[in-house]
Amino acid sequence: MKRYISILIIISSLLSLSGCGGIHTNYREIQQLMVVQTMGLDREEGSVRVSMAAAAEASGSGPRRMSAAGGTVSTAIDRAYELSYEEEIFFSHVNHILVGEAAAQEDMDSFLDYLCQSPELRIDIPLYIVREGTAEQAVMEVGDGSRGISEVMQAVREVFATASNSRVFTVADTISSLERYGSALVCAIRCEPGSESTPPQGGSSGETEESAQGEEQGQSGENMQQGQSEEEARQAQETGEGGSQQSQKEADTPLMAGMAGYGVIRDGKLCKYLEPELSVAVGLMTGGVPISFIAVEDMDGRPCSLEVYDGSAQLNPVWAGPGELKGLEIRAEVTASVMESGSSRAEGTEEYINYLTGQLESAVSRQLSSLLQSSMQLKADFLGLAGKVERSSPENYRLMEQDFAHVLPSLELQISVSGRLSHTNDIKEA
Amino acid sequence: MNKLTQITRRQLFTLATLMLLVPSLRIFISAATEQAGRAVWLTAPLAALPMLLYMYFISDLMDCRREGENLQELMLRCLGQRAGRAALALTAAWLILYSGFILRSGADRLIVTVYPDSSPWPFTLGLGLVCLAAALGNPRSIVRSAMMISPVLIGALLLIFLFSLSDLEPDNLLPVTLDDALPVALGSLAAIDVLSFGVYAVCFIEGLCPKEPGRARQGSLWLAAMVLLMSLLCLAVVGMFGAELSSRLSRPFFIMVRNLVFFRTVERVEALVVMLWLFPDFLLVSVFLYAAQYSLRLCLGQDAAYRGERLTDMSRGRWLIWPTVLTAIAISLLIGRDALSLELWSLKLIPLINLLYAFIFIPSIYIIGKIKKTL
Repeated sequence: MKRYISILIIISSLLSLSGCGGIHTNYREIQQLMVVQTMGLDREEGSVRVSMAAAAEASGSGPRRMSAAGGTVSTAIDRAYELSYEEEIFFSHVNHILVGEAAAQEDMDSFLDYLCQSPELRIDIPLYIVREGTAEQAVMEVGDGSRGISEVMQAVREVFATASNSRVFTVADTISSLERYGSALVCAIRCEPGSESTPPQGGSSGETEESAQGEEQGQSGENMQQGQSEEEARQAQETGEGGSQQSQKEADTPLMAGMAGYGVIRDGKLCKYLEPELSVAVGLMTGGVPISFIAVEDMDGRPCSLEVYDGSAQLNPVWAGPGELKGLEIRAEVTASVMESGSSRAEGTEEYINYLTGQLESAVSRQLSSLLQSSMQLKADFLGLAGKVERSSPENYRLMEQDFAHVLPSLELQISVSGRLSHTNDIKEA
Repeated sequence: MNKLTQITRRQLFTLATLMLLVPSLRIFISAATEQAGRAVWLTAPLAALPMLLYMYFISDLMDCRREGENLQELMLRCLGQRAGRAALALTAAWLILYSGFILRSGADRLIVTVYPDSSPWPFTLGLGLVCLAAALGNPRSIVRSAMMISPVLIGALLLIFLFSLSDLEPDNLLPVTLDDALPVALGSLAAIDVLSFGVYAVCFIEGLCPKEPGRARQGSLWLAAMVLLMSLLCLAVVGMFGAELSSRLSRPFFIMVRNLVFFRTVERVEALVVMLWLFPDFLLVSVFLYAAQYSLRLCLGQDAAYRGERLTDMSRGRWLIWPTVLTAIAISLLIGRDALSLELWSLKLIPLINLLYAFIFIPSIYIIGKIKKTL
């Protein structure tokens, strides 16, 4: 009995040893803490700019955000703290790390070193590159008056990893892949005007206006300031110029962040982007297919949308001799459903299904080919192909005289895709 | 047999388990991964065979002891008074140095993981003073503390392993081929270093156990359990991070704990786990300081066994306990004053001295004892 009482006392005593520095010394109410959820990293003129945002507050006021520059990440954080109202900045629950495009092109290694060594940050935090923008812009400007980048990034994360088996690349994944294969994939986001308008002041928040903007309008969001007043919007309207209505729309539209494909990191620097259209292929090669749509044409040439929701790929190396890698054979299997199709006489028939399945296979095959060609052209094994080859044939792999990345461009590719349409969502099926 | 201090062999090996956890998490994973890469999980099983032989050797040596005798008394018996005392002084020096180092590295663990930018002295001084109280008292209390804390620690380890299972990537652990044999063999040196420490460390207080047959068999079973434990640690850490990242991290086990999320709601429990590791530190340092002062008192020709003295009793050379502990604290404040120096002690000096002590010093005593027929 004494033993069990002792164990209970020991366990309960641990609560007072949780590293909170003692309740008498640095105790803070949660309101006094700025709990950073998103951290942005940029480089500017030899210094590092760190931007930080907390989550939106329950009171409905916007998220707290701050940004400052310094010689290193730590000094920039210190500077931000000095110049803020915050009593304490809390980094233990950072959920997203954003790196600006220019900074990623210059050098990712020092940021990764910081993230790896930090005693407060976890190393399984998702890492993103802000495509055609800076992390500061994303952290400080994205969102409307009541929601900020942290809420938006939570949605972005869901987009990258919709299926339970798909993934967002984390800091640990990136470092590990860079150390092992010399290159890595990082998810990319882009800041652009959102599809929801800001609710008019005093108006019902339930009324939203669909104002999805085309690609050509994408850049216009760069000049937008969050929380731009209605007065400014009215002034813009009063100018009477041709684009006045559009300006009004832009003024009402908050800046959002959306999925923008993947960045390829080689030798610690961003060297290329993979377009979002390749996400199925990326998912197949990295072990997790996100739910994504593929647009194909049906038998009558009408557009048709297939939702890919499952798949896997197997890579088999083709050896010319011991240690002589000749090519790669990739066999992929994908499962999709028909989400949107025009009415066709053949709809629902076996011929129709076979035709769409063929279209699916062809589209996925093109994606895979494009993805692997990118890897070969860049001499960057960001898909971890070397690991798959090694696992498939370890003895031969060890006999290879050259680095896998050097052999990569000369490899022959054989891609075969087997598709399956699980259902067409056609009411006639029932 | 002194009933006041008597313990069982099972209790002794439980203490050995907890003492072994200290170097296992401090050095083993990083050092072995650096050598063996993804095949690191094989290093402990590979070390099992030589360690089994070592366990049989140590058991053979300890079977030569008389009732109530520890390894220290055996040294005196084998080497004679003069050389025996020199050996005891050397042993005490090693034990004090190791205790000081553990105090310092324990403080560093707290600073790196929970209390960034803190100074190490409050931690080393605090733990050192607690260990002083333990060394002044009945050694059985230290062993009983180990019995109480072991279910908590082993339970925590198993829980951590269980929750890390979902993050294990087979690619990080396989394939393993014959080409990995040499790296695994080199990596197993780290496992041998840690396991040998566990095997001989408890011999300094084995006099508390009654002399019974079956030490080698019990020791072998314990060894098998430790090999399994160390392999699981490697599987969990390297399976999650991969060999390249694991060897880059200074304390991969605690960083792994930092990443764990329990039931999608509880996370960042690393502070609790780091705090749990204070107990193995306490046990190791207390046992070693007790053994060090015991050795020094034997050197001075005193009866060093605990006879129920009060903490303030300074008779029979008990005053030596104070300078012994204070020296260990002083060492902890002086060594490893910067990261590079601490790394040198942790990765080079301490493992080297440990291996020399385990495989040169102790066997030499045994051989001399056999030659002189004093064993």
